Parts: sequence; structure tokens; C-alpha cells
Amino acid sequence: MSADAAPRESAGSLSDIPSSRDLLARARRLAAAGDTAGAARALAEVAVVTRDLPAWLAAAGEIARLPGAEWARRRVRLAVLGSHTTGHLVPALVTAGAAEGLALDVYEAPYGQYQQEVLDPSSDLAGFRPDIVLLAVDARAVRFPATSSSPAEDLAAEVSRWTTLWSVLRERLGATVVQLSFVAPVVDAHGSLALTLPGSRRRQVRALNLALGDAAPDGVHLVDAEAVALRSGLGAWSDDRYYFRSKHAIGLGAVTTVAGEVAQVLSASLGLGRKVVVLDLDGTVWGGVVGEDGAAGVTIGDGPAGEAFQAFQDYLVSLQQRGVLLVAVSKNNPDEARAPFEQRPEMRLSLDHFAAFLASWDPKPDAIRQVAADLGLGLDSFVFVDDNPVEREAVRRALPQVGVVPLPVEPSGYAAALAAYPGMQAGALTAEDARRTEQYRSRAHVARLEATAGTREEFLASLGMVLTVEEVGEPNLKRVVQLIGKTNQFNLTGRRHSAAEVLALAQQPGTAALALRLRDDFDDHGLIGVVLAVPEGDDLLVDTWLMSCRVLGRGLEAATMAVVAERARAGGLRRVVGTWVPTGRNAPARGAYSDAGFTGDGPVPGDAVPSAGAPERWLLDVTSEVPGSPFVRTVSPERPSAPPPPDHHHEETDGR
Amino acid sequence: MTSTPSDATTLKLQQVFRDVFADPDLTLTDALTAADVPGWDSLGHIGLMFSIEAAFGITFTDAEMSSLENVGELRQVVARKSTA
Repeated sequence: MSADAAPRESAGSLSDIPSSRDLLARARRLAAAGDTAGAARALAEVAVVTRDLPAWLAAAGEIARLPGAEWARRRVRLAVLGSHTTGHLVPALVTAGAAEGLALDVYEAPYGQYQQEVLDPSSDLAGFRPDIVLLAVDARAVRFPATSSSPAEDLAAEVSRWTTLWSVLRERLGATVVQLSFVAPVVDAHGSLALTLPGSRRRQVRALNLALGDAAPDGVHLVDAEAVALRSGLGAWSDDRYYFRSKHAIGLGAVTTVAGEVAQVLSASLGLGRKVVVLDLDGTVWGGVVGEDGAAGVTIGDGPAGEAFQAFQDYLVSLQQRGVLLVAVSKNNPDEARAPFEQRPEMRLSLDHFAAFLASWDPKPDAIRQVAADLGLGLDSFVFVDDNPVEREAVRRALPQVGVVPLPVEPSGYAAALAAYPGMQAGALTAEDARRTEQYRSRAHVARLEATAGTREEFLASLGMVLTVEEVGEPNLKRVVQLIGKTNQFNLTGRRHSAAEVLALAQQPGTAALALRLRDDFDDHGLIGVVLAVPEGDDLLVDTWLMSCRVLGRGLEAATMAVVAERARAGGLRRVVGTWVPTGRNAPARGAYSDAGFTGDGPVPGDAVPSAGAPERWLLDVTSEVPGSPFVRTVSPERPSAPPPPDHHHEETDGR
Repeated sequence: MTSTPSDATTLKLQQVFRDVFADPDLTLTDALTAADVPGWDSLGHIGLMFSIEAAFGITFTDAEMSSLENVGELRQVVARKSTA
């Protein structure tokens, strides 16, 4: 299905690689028998043997049921802030985290509210006190026009937007920041010319990734989403059908690959990355068996297999230069094991690259234990690379902390298999890299960045929101009823009127039947809110009030109720009376009346879901003017009879 | 109890359901709907559609994704698409 899944799938046919179904069954069995650590290891292995999303989700479910976190190397509070649906990414992260030895307690921010959550000091995010915040924002949320007329300024403004959010997260919450870089849109009106054309969106997005890389201070880590998209296949990464249906900006075929990469960066940022690669020699760094074929006879350099071994050696050398320790553990006579290094000029690895070189006939687990003691490093910082499934199984059984790479049969897949193995990501630049980077950066002429929104209020003000109030009627009825039918979270009363009922209500004298559209400087959100309120005595009773989860957290509650209050006042009424009827799914809307300036009037009897608690009544005095929201301009269509523009009908999954 | 054919498509579909909803004992019947299966909510439905597409190498139309109300309909669409 995807490019990097291929070697794993062929590895799956080897005798020592269990299927994800076997691993899940084993984990359930071990967990039931009280062996939590064993169950956790089996679940972590799921992430190693497959990229199949359902298997990862099932593993996440089992991980969540494990008692305590003693099985993990570290327990981490991770907040996931997305501009898109993260409901599949979050459990995939739990599984990928377990593969890195991390027990993740995850907070998933409300859909699309990443900026509000960061900037609001009293947000649920702040209350969660995250160790690490993942910003999973896709390129659609980047504020670049299709073609920018002032590319440098637009770029600087966007960089500044992100660095401001980073600063708030680091300074106010003390959190480490991990951010997904942006994947340029597949379709660009300029096509390949976009590469040449300054200001094209695609070029700007790429420039933004590089600029964020330059701007990232200590404590901010970027995940190279473009590399993940390439690896998982752009078709898997970008499936617009799912974006339009459920706002999955990361295709479901790429979710596990993204989660794996993010988890690698997490563990690297915590200093938990693998530090030692233990290498077999025969069949692993060269082809053939040196004890039988002789140094001159082993395969390295010429021919497809020889070139593949050479490329793997190149990768190992680059790991060594990055600071990873290489250790040879080979069942050979020492002289014979060294001979290819000394005699074959095609070898890329030399004996100098190895921190330790053990050639003997001892069992490999014993040799690895010895090396760990000599180097003073824990076994969980080791990975073992061996083409022989029997040796792999021996290490897996004797030393469960050691990572065992499921090598594919063909050496051409070795480097990718090792690179994808949990823990193989570099956490930070080496001192040398850091110095070089510092030089580059100080040489570069850094443009003065514009000051941008640093508080929630400044952010909301910067959006330029305009709320258009329409009467509910035939032209918008279809979307109104659709919204009534599927809005769960921000649905104050949970009532689900049919089209006929809505029309009947709307035509009653004195009823406020409002359909609300929102646009801002960046997007037209379409029809996002519905209010139905009916007069009774001096009161206007809120029968139905709901908003699309796409626009929550923007202060629209106050703006909406100010409109309702104005209608009530114009009709000679004195109060607006709202009820919140708990449905079990609308807890996020509980504070809406309070946000809109209502006063609580206590619980009232009603038809709530019994387990969700009693309905609450809220009152708003409309004898004086109700202020609304300073961030939202409210307008009415100039010609209410004119048909509205066609609406975007998104199949929402209620914000998740 | 609705009878459900136990052809290869149905068995494969059942395996997908078992994997997606993490229930090794789940049994498909034509009358089964989202309300009967824990986890088959709007998000679970998206994961299910994706997993069926991947398992059978098919692509649902937007209308199909919205309209598949029970396993019977789903089974017929999958059978038609995977033999086409």
C-alpha cells in the first residue's frame, strides 16, 4: 500500500515476525494473566510489524486498559492541537508512543481551536499542564494567498504567528513543542512553475518550513511531514474525499506513519532515543559468510546486492557520525571477522567506526549484555540488526528491552527498516552541527518580524469576523435541518426538529428563527449556526440553539445571543430564557449561556438523559442593550429575499 | 435473526469489522447497524470505510459513504465493486 510498508510486509513473512492479530491476542492474554510489561511489549510490537491503522487503533485500546504506567520508560502528558480531525491520530500516537516506551496521557484540543487554546490562559490546555504540545496544523490553515504579491512580508508574518505560539507554550506552560511541518498542496494553479514563481503558494509553504526550521529554538522540534508524505505515498497522505467528508487532513493511510514519526521525535526530544546499534556482520553488512567464502568472496560493492550492502553501510556510517555507537557482534573467528574491513576497498565501514567489536562463538545475548556493561548504557538504548531470524528471536527472548529490527529479506530494504525502527530519530543537533547552524543563522539577514497576535483577544480581533443573520426559510432550510440533525457538541437543547417542524416554528408570529453565516478574513465558513426561539408571556424561550464545531471558541455565543436579545426587545419582551439540556454529548456547550451574559437560574425538571444530569435554566434581561462580542461584526443580508450563495456541505464528524 | 451468506466477501468483511472495532467475536448479519456495534460512531464509520477500501482495493463514492445504513447494503456494494 505504501512505500515504507513494503519491507515490513515482506519481513512479516519471516518466521520470527508475528502478525498484529497474534500480537493483540497475546497482549490480551498476558494482560489477563497480570503480566502488564509483557502485554505492553506485545502491543509495542504491533507498531513495528505493521502500518495497518485498525491494528494500531486496537492496540491503543488495549494500551489504555493497561493498569498503571510502570511498563513505560516515561509517562508523558501530551496535548494534541490540530486544525483538522485528530480523532484517529490520537490513538495512533498512543500506540506509536508505546513502541518508544512512552505511556502517553493525551489531551485532544477541541476541533480547530489550536490558537485559542494556546493563547487563552484559562483554556483546558493550560489546565491539562502538558509536558509536550503537538501542533498538528495542516497547510490549509496557513495564511498564504494563492499568489502572494508580497511574499517576504507574508512569510515573515506567518513565521511570526508560529514563533509567538511557541513562545507562549514554552514560557506560559513550560511545555516542549513538537510541530508538524507543512505539506504543500498537491494542486497549485501554477503547476511546476510554482517552483520558479516567487509568491506561489507552494513555494511559500516550502519556504515557511525552512524558515520555521531556522527559527526553532531549543525546546521546539519539527516533524518533517513532507518526508512522511513522501514515504507514505502522496495518495495515502492527501485523500481529499476524506478531507471533505470528515476533515481528515492527513489521509487515513498515512496516519500511522505520521504517528510513528512524531513518537520518534518525542522520544528523541526526551533523550530516550537509541544510542547503540548492534550489528551482525555476515549477511547483514556484507553478503555471504566470511568464514566460508573468505574476505575476497563476500559480496560488497559490485552488483545489485553488493551495492545495496554498500548503501546500508553508508547509512550506518552516517548514523555513527551523528553520534550513534556501532557495535559488531558476530559469530566468527576474530581474524576472519576483521578481514573484509582490512582487505576489501569497497567497504564503507572501517574498524574505526566501531565502539566495540566482538567476534566469538558465544550466544549473542551474552555478548550484548557484556557490551552494555562495558559502555555503561542501558539495554533499552540498544537496537539489534541481524539478518538471521533465529538470532533475532534469541535476543528478543533473552533481552526484551533491546529493540530487534525486523530486517527484510533483501538488503536493499535494510536502511529503511532500521531508520523506521522506534527510537532511531536524532533528538538534537550535535555540538558541531549546532555551532555550524549558529554560524549560518547569524550570517543570515533575519528580517524584522512583525508583531502579531499574542493574546486570545488580539487573535480574535485579527480574524475580522462577520456574522450574517438570515431568517430561516426555504432557501436555507436544507442546511439548517442538516445542522440540527448532526450537531452534537454545541447543541444546547438536543432537540432535532424535522424540516416541516422548523418551517412551522419559523412561521409562528414572534418567533426568532435565525440562520447564521460566518466569514472572516481567511475563510468563508458558510452557514454555521441556528437559533429557534419562541415567545411566551414576556419571555423569548430558546427552543433550539446550535453551532457547527468548526467555529467554536471564537466568542460567537455572545454575538449570537445579542441578536436574539435584540429580537426579543423589538418584540416588546423582557427576557430571553435559555435551557441547557444535557444529552451526554453536549457538555462542551454548557458554558454557552454564561459566555453570552446570561445568569444561571438553577436546575429545572426536563427530559434530559438521566445519567447526564438535570437541565439548567438561564436568564438574560433584555430591557437594556446586550453588548454582544467586540470581535464579531453582525450584519443582515441587504435583500433578505435574495437566494444565498451555495453553501459548502461538509460531512462533519462533530469536531472530532 | 437474519440469515447472512457466508461467502468469501462476507467473511473478509467480517474480519475487517473485527479488526476495526477490536472485537474478535463480532459476527456480521445483514441487519446489523451502527447502533448495534460499540465504536461505530461517525468517527468509527470513517475508519471502517477506509479499512474496507484498503482491504478490498475499492473506492466508495461520496454518496455510498453516506448511505450505507446497514451491513446488508454494505455487503452488496462491496461485492459489486470488488468484482467489477
